[in-house]
Formats: sequence, C-alpha cells, structure tokens
Amino acid sequence: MRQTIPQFKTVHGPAQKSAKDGDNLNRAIALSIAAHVAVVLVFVLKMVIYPNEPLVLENTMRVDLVALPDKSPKISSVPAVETKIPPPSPPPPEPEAAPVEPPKPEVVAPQPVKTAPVKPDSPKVNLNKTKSVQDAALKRLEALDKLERMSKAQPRSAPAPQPIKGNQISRGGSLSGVVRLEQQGYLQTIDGAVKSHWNLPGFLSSANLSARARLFIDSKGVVVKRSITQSSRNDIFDQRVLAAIDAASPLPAPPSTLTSILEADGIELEFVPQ
Amino acid sequence: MTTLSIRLTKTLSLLLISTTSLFIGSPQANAQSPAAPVAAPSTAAAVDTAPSGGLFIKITEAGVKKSLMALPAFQFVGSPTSARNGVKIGKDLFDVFRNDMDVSGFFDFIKPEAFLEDANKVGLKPAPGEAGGFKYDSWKQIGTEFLVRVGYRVNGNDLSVDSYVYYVPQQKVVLSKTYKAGPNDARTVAHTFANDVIKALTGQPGSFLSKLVVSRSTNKGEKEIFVMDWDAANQKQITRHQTISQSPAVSHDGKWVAYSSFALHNKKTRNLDLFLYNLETGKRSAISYRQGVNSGADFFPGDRSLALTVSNSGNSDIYKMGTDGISLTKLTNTGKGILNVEPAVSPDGSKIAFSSDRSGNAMIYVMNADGSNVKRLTIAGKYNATPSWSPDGKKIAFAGYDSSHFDIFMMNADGTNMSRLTSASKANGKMSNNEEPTFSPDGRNILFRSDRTGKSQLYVTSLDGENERRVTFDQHEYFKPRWSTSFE
Repeated sequence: MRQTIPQFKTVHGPAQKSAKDGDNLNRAIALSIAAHVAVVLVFVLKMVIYPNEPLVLENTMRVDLVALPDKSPKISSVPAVETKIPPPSPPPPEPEAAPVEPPKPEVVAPQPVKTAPVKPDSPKVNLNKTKSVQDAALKRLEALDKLERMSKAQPRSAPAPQPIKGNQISRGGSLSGVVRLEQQGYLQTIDGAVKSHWNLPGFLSSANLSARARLFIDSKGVVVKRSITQSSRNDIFDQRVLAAIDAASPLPAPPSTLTSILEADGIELEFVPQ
Repeated sequence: MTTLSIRLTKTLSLLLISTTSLFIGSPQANAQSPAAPVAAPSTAAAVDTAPSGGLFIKITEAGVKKSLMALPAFQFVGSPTSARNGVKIGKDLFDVFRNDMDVSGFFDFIKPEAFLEDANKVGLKPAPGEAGGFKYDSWKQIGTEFLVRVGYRVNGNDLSVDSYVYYVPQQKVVLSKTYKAGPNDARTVAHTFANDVIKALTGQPGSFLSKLVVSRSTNKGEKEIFVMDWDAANQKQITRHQTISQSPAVSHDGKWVAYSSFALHNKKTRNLDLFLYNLETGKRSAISYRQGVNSGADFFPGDRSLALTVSNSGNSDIYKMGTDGISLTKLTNTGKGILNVEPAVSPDGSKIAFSSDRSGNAMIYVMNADGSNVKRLTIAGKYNATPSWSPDGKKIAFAGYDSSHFDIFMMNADGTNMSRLTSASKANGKMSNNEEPTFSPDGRNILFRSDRTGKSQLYVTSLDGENERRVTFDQHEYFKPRWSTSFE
C-alpha cells in the first residue's frame, strides 16, 4: 500500500514574506537602472551617429527706452551779489540740573454756578436748561477732584538729575557713541558753512591749486583767529580761502567736548577746488 | 601759414611787480607736509586724529564766480597827425580783445557809465607812481577786480600797443607788455594780448590766435572751403571747385587741409573725392577718388595717414589711408547697408570715434585705431553724429537728435556723464538744430553751427553751455567747422 505522504500546505511565515518583498524590490531597482542606462545609451548613440546642428545665437534687438539729457537749467553757482547768511540761531539751552517738578494739576476752584434768579412770574424761565447747567458744574467739580487724586497718587517719573561733581566717573574723551556723532555733526556743520561761502574766479576754478588754513573757534562759535598754514602760492586763491572762513563766522557753538580743542588747537581745513 | 604770418614782435616791458605769486605761473607743488593730518571726505566730515593730534576737514567743490573787469576804451597816445588812422585801429583792438575776453567766460564787464574816472584823462599807470595816473580807489569803489588799460600809437607802418592789466583789490600788475606790429595787424595784436591775459591768469595759453577751416556757401549757391580766424575774421577761400566741397580737416602741423569735393569725372559724372591742400604752397591733389564716397577725413598724429569713409565696396566703411592715397586698411566691417561714417581720431591717435547705424539708429561708437574693440558709447536718441574729441582726449562732443532737432551734447570718452549744451528756438518758436561740434584748441569752448536764425551760422559755447556766443554774422551758411589744435 502506497503510503500517502501527507501533503502539508506550505504556510509562509512573516520572515519568508519579507524576503520575497525584498527580492521584488531589488528586481524593480535593477529594472529601473537598466531602463535608465538604456535611455542614456540611446541618446549617446544618437548624438554620435546624428550630431546636432550648432546652436545659433541670434543677436538680440536692443530697444532704447532712454532719452538724451535735457540742458540743465542755468546754475548760478555763485550769485553776483553775495548774500549775507544770517548768523545761526544760538544753540538750545543745556538742560538744567534742577530737580524735575512733577506736573502740577491745575486746580481750579469750583466756581459758583451762576444761576439767574428765577422770576416766578417770568414765563421765559427754562427749567430744563438751568438743570443742565447745574449738572455740568457738578461733573466739572467731580472731574477736578479726580484729577487731583490722580496727581497725588502718581509717583515721580524720574529722579532729578544731580549736578556732576567730584567723585564721579567722567564720560571720558573717547570718540565713540554719542560723543563721536556729536563731534562729527559739528565738523559737518563747519564743512557746510565754509563751503557755502567758498567761491573762486573762473580762471582759478580748474587750476591745480590747494591751500590749508587753521582756524580757532571760541565756545560761542566765533572764529577768533585764522591763518594760512600751507599756501597755494596764489594770493587770490589764499584770499578766497580766508574770505570763506570769515564769511562762515560765527558758526554754531561747538559741543562742549570740542570747545577746548577748537579754542586751543583749532581745526585745519584743506581747500581743494575739485 | 605764411600768408597769415605777421610782423609782430612782443616786447616784454617793465614788470612793475612780480606777478608769479598772484596768478598761476608754475604748477604748484602740492606735496603734503609729513605731519599732514589725514583728510576726511567733505561729504561726511569726520573727526580725524591727525598725526599732529588736531582736527581736519577737506573742503572741496568751490563755487565759480566771474570776475568783474573794467575795460575802458583804448587810449590813443600817438601824435595828432596820425590820430585819424588810429581811430579804426583802436576800435579793432578794443572790439577783438573784448570779444576774446567775453568768450573766455571768466569775466563780466562793468558798464562804462559806472566808471568814476575818465580813463582818457588819466594815465595808463597808477598814481602816485605816475603823475596824472589813474587811482586804484576809483576802480575799487565800483567793484573792479581787473582793470585793463591800453594805449596805442601809429607811426607810419608801425603800430605800438602798451597794455596793462591790474588786479585792483591788491593793486598789483597782472600783465604789462608792449606789442609792435604793422597797422594792419591790429586784430592779431588784440588776439595775442588776449592770449597773454589768459595765460597770466590760468597758466595755460589761450586759443584766440587759432583758426577755423569750414565749408561755406558762396553767392552762387556752391560750397567752398574757407580758412578764417576763430572769430570768423580774415576769411580766405582755398577752393574754387564750383561745386559742393565739404568736411575739411587740418593736419596736426597746420600745413595741410584735407577736404572732399564732388569732382567731375570724365566730364560726365561727379564723385565725392578726397583732396589734400597745402596751405603753404597752395598746391592740391586728389588722393582718393574711388567710386562712391571718399569723405569725412581726419588726420592721425604725425599726419602720415588719415581716417576716412570710403564706400567703393558698396558699404560705407571707415578706412585708414596713407596721405599718398594708396595704402588702405579697412577698419570697420559690418553688414551690407550699414553706415560707418565721420571718424574722429583721438588726440593721441589710439582711438577713433565714429557714427554708425549698426544698431538701428545712428549712434556714437569708439574703436581702437586698428579697428578692434568696438564699443558703443551712446544708447539714447534717434540719431547721434559728428563726434569730436577734446584736446585732452577726455571728452567727446557730438550732435544728437532726439525728438525734433539736433543739439550739441558732451560726454566723457567712455560715454558717461552726458550733458546737453545747447537748446535754442527759432523765431517761429520751433527748436533749432545745433550740429557739428568742434573743440577749441584749449578745450575750454565748443564751436558748432546752428540754424536758429534761419541760416546755418557758427556759434561758440562754454563746456557747461552757459556762455554761448554767435561767431558769424552774415548771410552765408557754414558747415562742418574744424577748430584746429595747431592751426595758427
């Protein structure tokens, strides 16, 4: 009797299923790579067998959207008659070191409400109007009381600045931060003021000349002394330099950090026409 | 030019006070001292800690102001018998000198009505040094900066002119010279005096003795080539082809004029041929008569070759040609129907500016002298033409057409910083055409032609376009002027 071998149905476990999926993936990747390589080969062979025609780059058409410049309006660089520039306004006063007083509320004494005596016989008395006036006066008194309470409750916003005296660390002399900006601003003021008054005759405007001058400025901005330190070797040029400085005085008062320098050492200006 | 040479001797007479310290005599050495502090840019003046420890600002961009000049009538100081002849000479001297000073752009003139002193009743020199001399205070009170005093005498064929220029604020002499010449050379004396004044003030010579070469209409309606003073005086006709002669150019040595003329070939057809004319001998020769255009010539430095437009190949191209007319090198090579015209050789001969419509509209281009490295300079406008180099090679002037008319423009040689110098309307309100600019030899002015009066006349303007003057006052029409750098 033939022994029947029992047929066991193969049952795939989780491990076997994972391996099969991996094989499929590898096969797909291989097929993909092969397909890409084939495509590349096709293009390479095509380029070798049928080379492309050279790429023709045609000139682009340039469209001008710009216009020729207009003649500049007549520039009277320097008026024939020199105009005197009014002296600059004095600098704003320094903040005083007095303690800051808190704002005092304006306490207004309650004004008696003037009500016109009502004439009982008068047919013109408007009772509604009289009442509204009285209400307004009451509200005003309440508002003033409230304002006074608020001012008393409000703390002092900032302590009063104390005058700087001894045993204080000074701000120092380094040119940084606000000090530097302050000084730069003042030098720009000098630059602008002098330049606005500097003019040369036409025959010297294109000459290769330059000169240097030193000026001393007091604490009020007045040029107290000026002189040529390096001459242009042309008297007219040198004179125009000094005239520009004279016309620019008085300058605004210099910042306190520059006062001593400008008074003692002065500042040197180099004048170069172009 | 022998025909224009004169018997003129300049005698430097007494120089009362040294003027070298007052005006520019020699370049100033601008060497900075070792302790010179570092300059801060004027636009943002900065606190600088100089080696010396001080503050320092560099001031730039000075304003420019014209100086007030008092120019009394020139004084006749000769014998009364020659006074009659002297009147016209004195007027010529005065008018020419005043016009030169006016065109210089450096001066405003004080009206004679404002004079506090009758110049004819005082001497040419100041009192009290000279008895009866003028008083500085009289001129200082009316704001005079420069006082010009001139006395002249005519003795037979001798003209003697004593000239003085004073700087009134400092009571100093700027110039003191005596000129001697023939009585017919008054204009030349005046131009020479003007040149000397400009040189005394700027250190650079003026160009009032220079000359123009221009194509000018004749009474018969033709155009011939003329040579004239810069102010259009002493016009001399150098061609009589009885046709259209145009586009003259002067050689750098001032001996040759190249021009083009519609010459008759075989008594049948006319062709625009190029001619060379010798200003000294008066001889001329046709050096390029190739079929078509042979025009727009400009000399290279050395005067051995020219740049010009030749169209015998069918296209108008720019060529370099020897003055023998034989050697020919093509410098532009564009497509059919493209115009490359009006070459202008730079002063150093390294570049050529020209006009071409290769981009559609006629624009200004520049290329190396061998035709390489073509660069477009203008992109604006509809038609830009006739470029002209400044003597220093830093600027190019040209005529540009934008909407309705041509105007004169100037730009840097690289095409930057373009400015319009002209804008003038005609009597009918329409805008005039201003064309064909040419720089003065000193580079301070530009001459051009304009039809603002209805006729094509010559005008001159300063480089900022603010000081414009008419040069010709006649019924002729002028074309393609050239103001030579070495043509006196």
